[in-house]
Amino acid sequence: MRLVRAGRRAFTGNADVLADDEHRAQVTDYFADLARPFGLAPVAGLSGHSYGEMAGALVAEVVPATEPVDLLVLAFSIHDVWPGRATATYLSHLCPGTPMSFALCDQGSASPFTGLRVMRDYGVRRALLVVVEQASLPYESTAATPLEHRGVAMLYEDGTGSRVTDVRQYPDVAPEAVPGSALLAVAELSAGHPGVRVVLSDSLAAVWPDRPDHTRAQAGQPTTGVWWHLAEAQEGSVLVGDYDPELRYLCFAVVAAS
Amino acid sequence: MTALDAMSVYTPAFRVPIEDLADPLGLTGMQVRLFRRFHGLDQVRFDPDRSPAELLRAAAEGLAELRGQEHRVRYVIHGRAMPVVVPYPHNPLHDVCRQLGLAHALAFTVTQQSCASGLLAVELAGRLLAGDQDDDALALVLTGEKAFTRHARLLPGTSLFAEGASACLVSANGKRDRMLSFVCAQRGEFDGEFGDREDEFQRQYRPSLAEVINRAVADAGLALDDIRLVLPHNVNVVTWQRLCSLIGFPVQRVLLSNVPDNGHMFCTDAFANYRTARERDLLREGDHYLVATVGAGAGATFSAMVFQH
Amino acid sequence: MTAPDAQLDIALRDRVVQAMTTVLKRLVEREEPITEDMHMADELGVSSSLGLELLLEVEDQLGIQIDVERMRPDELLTVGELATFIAGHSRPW
Repeated sequence: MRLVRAGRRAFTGNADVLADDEHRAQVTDYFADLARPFGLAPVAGLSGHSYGEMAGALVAEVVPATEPVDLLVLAFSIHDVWPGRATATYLSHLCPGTPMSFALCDQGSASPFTGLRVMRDYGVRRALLVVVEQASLPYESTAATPLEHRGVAMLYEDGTGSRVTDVRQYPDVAPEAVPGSALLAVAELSAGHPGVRVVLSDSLAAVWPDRPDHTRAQAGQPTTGVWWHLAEAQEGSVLVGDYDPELRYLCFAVVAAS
Repeated sequence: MTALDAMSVYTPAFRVPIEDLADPLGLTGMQVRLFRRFHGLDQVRFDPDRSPAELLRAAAEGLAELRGQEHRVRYVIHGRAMPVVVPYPHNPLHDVCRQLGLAHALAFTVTQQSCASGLLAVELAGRLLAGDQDDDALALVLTGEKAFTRHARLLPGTSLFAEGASACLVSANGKRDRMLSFVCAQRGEFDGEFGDREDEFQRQYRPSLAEVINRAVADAGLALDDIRLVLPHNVNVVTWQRLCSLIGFPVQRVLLSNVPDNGHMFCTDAFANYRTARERDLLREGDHYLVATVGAGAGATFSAMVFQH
Repeated sequence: MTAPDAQLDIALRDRVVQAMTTVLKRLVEREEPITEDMHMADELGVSSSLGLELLLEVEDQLGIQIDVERMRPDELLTVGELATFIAGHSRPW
């Protein structure tokens, strides 16, 4: 499985759909019901973006009609402003090939890595991984939210050749145990990829004092951070690493761009 | 071959007659009568005392086969119809994993295929296990969610959601309840973005469901008549009656009794129906059965899975 | 094509047609006459949920129970076709 094309975008403003009064009312009710059991008050003025719009734009950019996709994974951690929508099913319709599509979530920054793993285990001709995060929460929250609405779409193709995409995931890793596992993972994954460029998330670098030379993903974009850099890669191999301090997932992937 | 090694289903005891849901949901008397007459609904189960995490935990705690085997579980996959159910960054799934001694597993939720997300979770469990070096590895598939908001209480003109949960241990090489095929067809053109296409959707519903069923049966190397039992999603009795006449399958072989007994438990229906089938001794060793579900509510996913018991 | 039942009760069918047209006029808010050859979905705008209401109301008015399980909606498109089905597939309460 090789990365054949990627696209990345920052989005500004709010989802178009929030301009619709009826939609706003429904979504406001949904969020009120969601937050009430946790004692969280709604914030005034619903804002934020929708993954259907963001991912839809990325799909159009990254997948030409001549390259039908078989599998689409939408990975997110923070939710968007159309919480009840089967967005992945909508994307299935937009994406050439009408791929089997689903969303993968509740796994913090590990979800795109799990997405890659599922795509690899499926062994289809073409698979699209879309990683998204938007910056607004419609209820009071002390959670850190992303700085910007961002999305990255990566089109992977199964083909011949020795260079493959590989993934390593370590659940339940305490911060102090990160360096040991990280060193091992990077050694294993870079073995087949001489000259591989390393991209680490801010959260991983923070707990890995002896980290190797690397590009540091921007702080404040916890889900898309490392993938944003991967999307720039024109050729060669890139090794991305991320650590989710709340859920304690340490993840690495080496991706061969073609 | 993906296999269901063990299963536990939690159905709350508390039930509400559908007439009592009319006022809270703003349903007319006629709409309630339609639900009763055509959809076969009678009472809907709820668990007012349990949170999303506690629902999942109730099912997992009933899974005796999990005890002592926690170390073998490498994946915990929650199949969920409602994409967002708690404020960010709360994470009931991981809370439950820690409580169950499963913090070492990769746990995640798959969603946005509506009520078909549960079957998807089983399929993905099988794929991950097949790609895993460890032959002894297991996956735990969890379903269960709360009818916490209108969108999760009422599917207009179609069904009423109920609360329940299931926990299923999946292996890549089990000896029984082996998955022979899985077919999934998505119709994102019925998403809300494209306007109200409800009537068009109703017209396409049965043919689309028939298509995935026929394909799943063919992919399993079988004919429709080889299917001993169908475990449907519990949304609607008349749809299944009409579907059976469309594909020429005896409706007596579709397990529909949980529609009046439970209501529509999101992704849990298939598992609840499986438990009922076992309780009634409806499956003999070697029997083939089919699980079919339609995830609907703007944007539809039709899925079918064939198993051998 | 659903086989027509032998000895269709013509009197019942007439009552069914009458009940249907009365109910339909109210459901789709129509003042003009409704004839048997009219296509319910395309000409009268009867949606699937209105269609179910129509059946329930006809049952109420005539004191019958329709064998809805046997219905093949794709074959019952006009007022007349549905009336024939109802007359041939129902029993008194």
